[in-house]
Amino acid sequence: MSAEKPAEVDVDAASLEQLRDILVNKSGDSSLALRFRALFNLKCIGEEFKQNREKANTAVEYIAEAFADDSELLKHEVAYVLGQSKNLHSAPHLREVLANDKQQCMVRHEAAEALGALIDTESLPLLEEYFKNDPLIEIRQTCELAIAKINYETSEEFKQENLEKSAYSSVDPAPPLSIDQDYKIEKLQNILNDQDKPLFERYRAMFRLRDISTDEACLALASGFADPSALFKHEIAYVFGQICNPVTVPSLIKVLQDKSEAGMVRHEAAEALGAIATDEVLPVLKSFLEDEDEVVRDSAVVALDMYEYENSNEMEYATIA
Amino acid sequence: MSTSKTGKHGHAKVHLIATDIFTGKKLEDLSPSTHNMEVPNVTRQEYQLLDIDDGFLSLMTADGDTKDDVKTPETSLGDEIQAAFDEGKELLVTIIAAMGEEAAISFKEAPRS
Repeated sequence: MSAEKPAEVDVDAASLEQLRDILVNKSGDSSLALRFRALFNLKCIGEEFKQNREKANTAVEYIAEAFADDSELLKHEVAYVLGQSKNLHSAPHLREVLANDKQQCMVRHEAAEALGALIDTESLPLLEEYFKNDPLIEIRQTCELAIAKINYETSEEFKQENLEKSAYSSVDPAPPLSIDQDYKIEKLQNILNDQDKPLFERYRAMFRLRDISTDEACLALASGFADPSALFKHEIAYVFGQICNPVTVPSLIKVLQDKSEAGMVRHEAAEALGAIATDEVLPVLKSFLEDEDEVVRDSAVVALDMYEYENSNEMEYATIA
Repeated sequence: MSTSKTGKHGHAKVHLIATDIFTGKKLEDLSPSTHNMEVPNVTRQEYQLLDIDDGFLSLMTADGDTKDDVKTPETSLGDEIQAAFDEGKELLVTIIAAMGEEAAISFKEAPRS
């Protein structure tokens, strides 16, 4: 492969090394959008550890190489993808990132969340330490959720509860509230916004509302954008990117345009808009390509690529072409 | 039907290939896996064949009324129905209906009672 032209690599044909080279931008001219697609290709291999452990673990190693990059957006996605891979081979890399105060907040947050997604019980002492002592509230809250998730997933309660099967393939930071209880939307909205309740329970209400996914449920979720926690708000934006209900678009645009919002929240709003991909979001996303905040600028690039994919006849996002 | 791998938000695209029940044409669609799709309501009913007249089948409903608005198929099926009818056989024709369209899709000899 020539160094000048990294394009035209097919997911089935590309070697792990080719994908890594695009991900870490070895040639120096791989676009951010292409690097994201390479990352998701590697993730698809990294999660197939039951079929081919050696190949999957190699993919994990290559993905983790990208933690040496400067881009906060790319690295946070790297941590996210490692957690979603369910491959415990990722855990040592993620612990290292959480414990590294040179890494940016979004990257460390995503690493802590990923350890929860992996249900990595060995990481509990580390998560406890950063839950108690980290100066950043986003990190403390993420550790709180990851600890609660690991404890829940390994509990008797988990085995007994009836949960609705999610329409999405994501590993979420909390399960939806059980369907054993017939909550009204209003009740779920109250739990969602009750700052006296544990964050884990509020997230459970959030994911239950996501699974209901009606216009009414979406508007109840949008009320969460009034919360003071950037972490909480970014998760609302994330689930909007999953649901893809256009009724959420005005609230997402409002959040993206509000420069007093944290980069983490605005970034997630941009990517959600890219996934919803209705006509009205195109000019909005383009207008953020020059945003002052690098994470927002980069998110606009990735979101526009996602928009293009959603509106194309391309079957695979994770195929590099 | 095939499903794509999923990206960041964990939703996939679904690729559907279907056959038009009236024309036999192959059709494709690509849709997000979380979206709902409209599915036609297809009904299937057998009628007794009374006559074939000017390209239309004359059929008898279960209530004894006649139904004369279904075309004789322009395919080999139409020729087979015509041939069997000309031999003087008592025929039952199966008609499918969906989205306001109707078509004959098969026939058989009526059981002798």
